Amino acid sequence: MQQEQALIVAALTAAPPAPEHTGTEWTELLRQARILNVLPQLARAYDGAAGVPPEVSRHFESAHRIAERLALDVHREAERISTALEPLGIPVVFLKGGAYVLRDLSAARGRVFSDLDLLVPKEAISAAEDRLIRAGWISSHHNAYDQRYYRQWMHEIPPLRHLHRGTIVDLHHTITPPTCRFPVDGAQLLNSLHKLELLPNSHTLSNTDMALHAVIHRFMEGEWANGFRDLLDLHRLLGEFGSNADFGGELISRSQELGLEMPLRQTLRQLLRIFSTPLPPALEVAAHHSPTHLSERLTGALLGEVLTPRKADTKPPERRWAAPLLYLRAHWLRMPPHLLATHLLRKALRPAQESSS
Amino acid sequence: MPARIDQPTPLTRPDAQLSTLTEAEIRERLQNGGLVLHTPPFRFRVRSNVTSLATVLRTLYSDYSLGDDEGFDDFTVTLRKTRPFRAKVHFESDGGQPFEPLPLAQAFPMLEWGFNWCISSHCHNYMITHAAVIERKGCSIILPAPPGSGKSTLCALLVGHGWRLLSDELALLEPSTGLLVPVPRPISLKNASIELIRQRYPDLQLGSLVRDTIKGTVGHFRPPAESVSRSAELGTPTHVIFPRYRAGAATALAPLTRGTAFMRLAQNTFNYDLLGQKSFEAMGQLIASVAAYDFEYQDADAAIACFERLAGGA
Repeated sequence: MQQEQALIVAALTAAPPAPEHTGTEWTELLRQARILNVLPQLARAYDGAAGVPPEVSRHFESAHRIAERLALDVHREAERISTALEPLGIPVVFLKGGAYVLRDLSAARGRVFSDLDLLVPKEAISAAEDRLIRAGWISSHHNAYDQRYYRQWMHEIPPLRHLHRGTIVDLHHTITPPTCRFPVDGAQLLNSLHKLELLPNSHTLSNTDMALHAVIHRFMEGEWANGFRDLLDLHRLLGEFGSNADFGGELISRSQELGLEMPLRQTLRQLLRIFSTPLPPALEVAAHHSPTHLSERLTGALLGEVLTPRKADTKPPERRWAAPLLYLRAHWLRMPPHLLATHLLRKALRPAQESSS
Repeated sequence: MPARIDQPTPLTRPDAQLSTLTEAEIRERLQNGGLVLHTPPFRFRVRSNVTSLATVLRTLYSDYSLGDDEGFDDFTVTLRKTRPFRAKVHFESDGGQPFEPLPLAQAFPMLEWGFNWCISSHCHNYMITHAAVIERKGCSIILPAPPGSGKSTLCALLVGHGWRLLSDELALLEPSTGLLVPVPRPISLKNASIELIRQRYPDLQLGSLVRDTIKGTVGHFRPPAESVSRSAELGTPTHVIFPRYRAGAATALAPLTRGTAFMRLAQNTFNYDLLGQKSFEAMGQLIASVAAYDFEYQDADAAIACFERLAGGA
């Protein structure tokens, strides 16, 4: 098992990756990449590498086509969004995958995703939604409970879907639900932004906040099909931002300001375990600080279970034993118990085809 | 029994044809490690606990080579039967589960649809058009059409008459060369067409017949051995013909303008939008180098004669 695990991780992290694989190993590598949704990233890793057999390189070529198309779509949609929101004169902040593409970060290489995440000031969220609706994005959740659930308890409004192009925009006012164990004030994020030159009023989060967003998103998430991919993003973000000598220390102090030390520590530990990510000294210290709480150790074990890549013939992450426990944990982190009980009861009692949030 | 990729059953006859295996041997491979089926240009490793599958595969894929166990598999697909009563089959390929489970009787059509899904959703190195492709005397004709237009029936009529089958369902065009890559696989026909082809060409073997699918009755015919053995010969497209079966129609070819042919072919191309500029250029070159027609038909003999004239003049 250890050897197979090394195969996908080594291919994604070594520079250049080894092209001398047997047919069976290539099969395993591509299967793992498809299961973990990182085939385009794998294809990028093999860009320009000699000795890739033609049977394999045509799958890489196909993956390139998908990734190129998505990157193009991100640039086009970002332009349309920033144009639609320009009259409001508010900062428009692109988050996650969209931000990686617009900043041309190494984490964007081959990243595939289906929606664009935006952050705007909380007081401007209704005006921004209104502008986007006028530009053709309509709410995809028509259920009154869903609408209330998002608007009252969540950090985002229900997803907006473009009438013709089908692109989805998630409009946020902060990066975690206000009801959760790690509430982050959106205003704090808006204080330190990275300006995008090409689009009006457009930004991404600062480097530290972008890394912390990736950390907390992965840490709070209940779905694990893309867990490995998200961790790979972080591995690349830290590698790129870490070339600045001050970054490690800044990330630690920012995590303290935003109350995210524990999720950061846990995530760093997973990164070390799975990718052996080279960390700046300050982060290395944080990662090796042993957890004292039993619950923290348990969380670490559960995360390790779903994040570690396994052989293609074993269960995918979302079907492993830890996945349902982590799903419950995600809800537990999201809301205090009385809200959670009400929410789960609503979801349990409603017809199956309607459940969506 | 769990599938084991680390210790595959050693192949005693690498590159032998599937027909050299007995049904029991095929079943054994499907259940342990997988049957490696070389259906050019792809290699599928098929795993299944559906016992009836061996019979159908042995009939329809008898002329295809088996891949050696150490080689590279493009796709590993699993067709798994669950629960003993009113059994259903589940299709899965490398984490992808594109279909709802289907009744056990539909296992083979589901496998075929699954093969097509693997290709059309993962192989964007090709421009993939929903079309049949046939060839005679160097005249390669793309027959694009939405379902129900009589595309597969026309394809089967011509293949039964001696045309080479390049594909029954997916036209794969290499954008860099403009050539068509053959993917000959069993020809799928529906409802009344099945009986028509069966009576006309008793040599074309019907290997699978399933009633009551969402598409009605679905039958699969074995492709001619010659089409399978010549699958490495790429086709140079010469015609794009949009077929339409219409009761009472006179057999007629109506020329199409380049612009119309371009737009209609693009509408039938799964990844036209995804490939962006690449497919715009490839489509432009294709349309510039072929003759494009609308084709209405009812009478089989007249339709065949019409296509024979096209190939004779090529």
